[in-house]
Amino acid sequence: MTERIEKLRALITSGWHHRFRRQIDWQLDRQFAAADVSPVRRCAAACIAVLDEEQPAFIPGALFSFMRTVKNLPEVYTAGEWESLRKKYTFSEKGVPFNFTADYRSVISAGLPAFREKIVNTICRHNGETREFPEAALAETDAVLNLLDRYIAAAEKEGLVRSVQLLKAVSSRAPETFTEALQLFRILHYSLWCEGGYHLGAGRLDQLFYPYLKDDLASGRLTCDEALEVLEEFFLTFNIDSDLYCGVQQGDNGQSVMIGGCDADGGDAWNILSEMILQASCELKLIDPKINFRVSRSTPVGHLVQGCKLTRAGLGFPQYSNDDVVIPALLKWGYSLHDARNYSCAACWEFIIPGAGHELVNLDAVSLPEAVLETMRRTRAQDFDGFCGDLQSVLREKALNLLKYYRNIHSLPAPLASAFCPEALENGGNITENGRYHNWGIHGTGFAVAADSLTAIRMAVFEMKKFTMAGLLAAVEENFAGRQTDKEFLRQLPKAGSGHPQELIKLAGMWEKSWEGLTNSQGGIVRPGTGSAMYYIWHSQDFSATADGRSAGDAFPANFSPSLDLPLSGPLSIIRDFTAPDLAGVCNGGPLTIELHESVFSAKDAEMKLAALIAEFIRRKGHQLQLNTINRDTLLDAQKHPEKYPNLIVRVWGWSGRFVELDTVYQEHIIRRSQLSLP
Amino acid sequence: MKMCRGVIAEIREFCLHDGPGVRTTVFFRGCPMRCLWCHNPELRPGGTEKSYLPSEAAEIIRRDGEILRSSGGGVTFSGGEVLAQADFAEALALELSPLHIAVETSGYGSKEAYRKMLKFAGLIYQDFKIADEKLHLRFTGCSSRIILENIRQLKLSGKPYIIRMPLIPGINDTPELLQKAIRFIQQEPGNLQDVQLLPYHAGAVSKMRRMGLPVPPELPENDGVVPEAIRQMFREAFPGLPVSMA
Repeated sequence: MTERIEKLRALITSGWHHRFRRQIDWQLDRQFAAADVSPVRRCAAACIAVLDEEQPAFIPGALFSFMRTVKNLPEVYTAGEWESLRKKYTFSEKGVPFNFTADYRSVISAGLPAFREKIVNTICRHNGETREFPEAALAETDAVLNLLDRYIAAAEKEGLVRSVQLLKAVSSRAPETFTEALQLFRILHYSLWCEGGYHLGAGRLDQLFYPYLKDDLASGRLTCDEALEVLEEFFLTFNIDSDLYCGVQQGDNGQSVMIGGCDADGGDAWNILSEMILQASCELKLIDPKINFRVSRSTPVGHLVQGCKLTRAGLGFPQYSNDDVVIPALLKWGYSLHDARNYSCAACWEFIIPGAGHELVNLDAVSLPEAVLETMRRTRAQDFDGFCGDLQSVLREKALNLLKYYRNIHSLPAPLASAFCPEALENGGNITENGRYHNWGIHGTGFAVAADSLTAIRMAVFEMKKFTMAGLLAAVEENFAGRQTDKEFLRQLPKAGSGHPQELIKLAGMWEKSWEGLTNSQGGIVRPGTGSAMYYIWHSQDFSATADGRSAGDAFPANFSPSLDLPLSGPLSIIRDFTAPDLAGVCNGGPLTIELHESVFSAKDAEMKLAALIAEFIRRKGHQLQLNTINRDTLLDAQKHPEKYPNLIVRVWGWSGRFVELDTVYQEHIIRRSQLSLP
Repeated sequence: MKMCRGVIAEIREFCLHDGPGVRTTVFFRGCPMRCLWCHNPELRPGGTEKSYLPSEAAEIIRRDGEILRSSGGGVTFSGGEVLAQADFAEALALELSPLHIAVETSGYGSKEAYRKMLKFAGLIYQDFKIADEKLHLRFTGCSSRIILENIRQLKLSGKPYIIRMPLIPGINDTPELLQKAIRFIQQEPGNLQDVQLLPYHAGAVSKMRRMGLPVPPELPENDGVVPEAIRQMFREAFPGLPVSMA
């Protein structure tokens, strides 16, 4: 890291730039309601109002411009209007497009003026009602350009020669250099946040920017060291406004980057920028952007070793996605080969195609342990196969209920984001309905708890006949009150992660089957997944005890990981079990998460050895892997003395955050996750 | 070869500190020595003992064969004392062939047992505890004579090996004892790869307490460090070797 970057990093992480921020008492919703403004015009006007209120401001020494000075975004509907809207429609989360990656590539390769021209041409092709959308997109684009002009004027006034040059270049033509392309990305990413969308992924940045970098390096415009410095400053921009972004917890903002993987022809897409991205992230040690790394059996060990160096930095990434499983899964679900090869992660881990629109891949979650419990209540099965048949029916019912619940799914218009999506722009419609694909993703929460409960039911009820189903159900519903011995008996039965994958395999198969042949109200399919998002807390905290001996209210493991507090043999046993199911059928996203004690890195050639672990995961056809290193003692001390650990970073569920900023429930969960200290 | 069962305390996967690459470490149960500072008293015979046929143990280990091979790792036999179950160790190594086998040993075993071990081991971690027969007897309960003979055998074998010296404050770390150890190790050292110095770890004391074993008063309560002077002494004695700390 150069001295300049170090200074910038210090300024940004200290919040120096917050001095430019102000809160605005927006009243737009009431004005819109009074004038009965259409939804599209409301959303556009709100975005334009924010961009107009923005005031150019600069961080000393920074090359890239654009930061948020308006803290809060306006509401577009009044509370009363929301109430009637929610009666008519179902909304996912905040009801605006979220959890997607825009098509930065098409806008950046065209440049802002040509992008604007494209919208104008679209307007000309449309008439009447369908004009409203591209017209709104044009108005927002003009507000962006207007702000850009004000930035140029302000930079000129402050004598920021290089910034002026850079901003003028991106305002007048397509970017020609690496630095210009990054500046334009910053403007676009910033603008999309101003429009109100959230969990905005960055996509495959090593593919997007490599052509620019290659030219710069070849022509001598940049040396490798200079390029790294530019890239590091660009990464810093992801941390300027991130505290204003919404999420369940601070850090949960979806700013994830994908590197590696394959190109359109299936060849290795790794390039020098992939490497630089890992290095920049390693040096900066910040929670944004989060790094995802596409790997396969043909990934050279050297690349995995570089990934492990970043793991060593303790930021909770990179997260690995296995092309050998994910691409066939996407093909099976109907994605084109070209798109499947271009996949990225939406925000946390959901696999999406950047720029192909907005799929609701984080729509909702089914609590799998709850499905098992419900089956226990309803079943009359005489054997385990019969029980599984009943569970399958319960899961199917839940699937159908969710589809019914979301049959009127609706999303607020996002004209600017929609203009980034070629199909949506062409159709003059919202990105949520006019993308290339319309599939939904549903998480399966508590996978391991449900699988372990199935094991317990198979063994304790049907094989050993230690309990009747009613007896086991009673014990569970009474939270094992007065039945400590029964609870302990259930706890010591085999569990997924220590050499017992059978029920994990079975459950994955059932979870896949519950969605087979179903179509969602947008015409797409539903992709079941192994992620948990925050549901591992939400679904567990008020939930009953389970047949695996888990107590009522006790947390589920996050994502696709062994149950908490198990005596585990080590990462290889975990990997063996959690790669045993056919994961291509449940491939919406959701990683196997393994927490290693940070002392692993004291071993000689530790990165090599961890790389071998990742290669083993790939070989065994795991779909997604998250390796974290933590030190329980440090975390406990940080709870007691938060002031000592302002920058202690941990992986939460699909993102990294500063430990001391998390709610206690999330802190406690991380402390409890099995931490494998290796001899 | 006799078909024999072996008593194994644990087969531990993904070990990163017991040799090159990713390794599975097999902890043999039972040790004839009674070192004062023993870290693994739980591996002494007793309690419920699980025995394995060589093929059974090999089957468990081979589940991870791919990563052991591809990482340039293998299997490490540790203990307890491997030499105390030399026939089983040999049979297990044969089952695991061609995986790389490393052995951690005190060297306290028959010449025959040591010879068998040398045949299959690709790397030997050979302990060197105390360079004085009387003190050795006093603090380990065993004579050092047969250990030294086995180390001579090791040197002649040409097999790569690493000497591991635990430094127990006040017991084996006086300059005289260390110099004496150095002189012995230096003599026609064969394929010596490294001399590792192991700082004293007080974990043994708390473990003994937990297990209800008497704690010898000679044992320090706090972790030790390897003084730079001692490391320097070994560096000078073994130029070209890393003299690492384990």
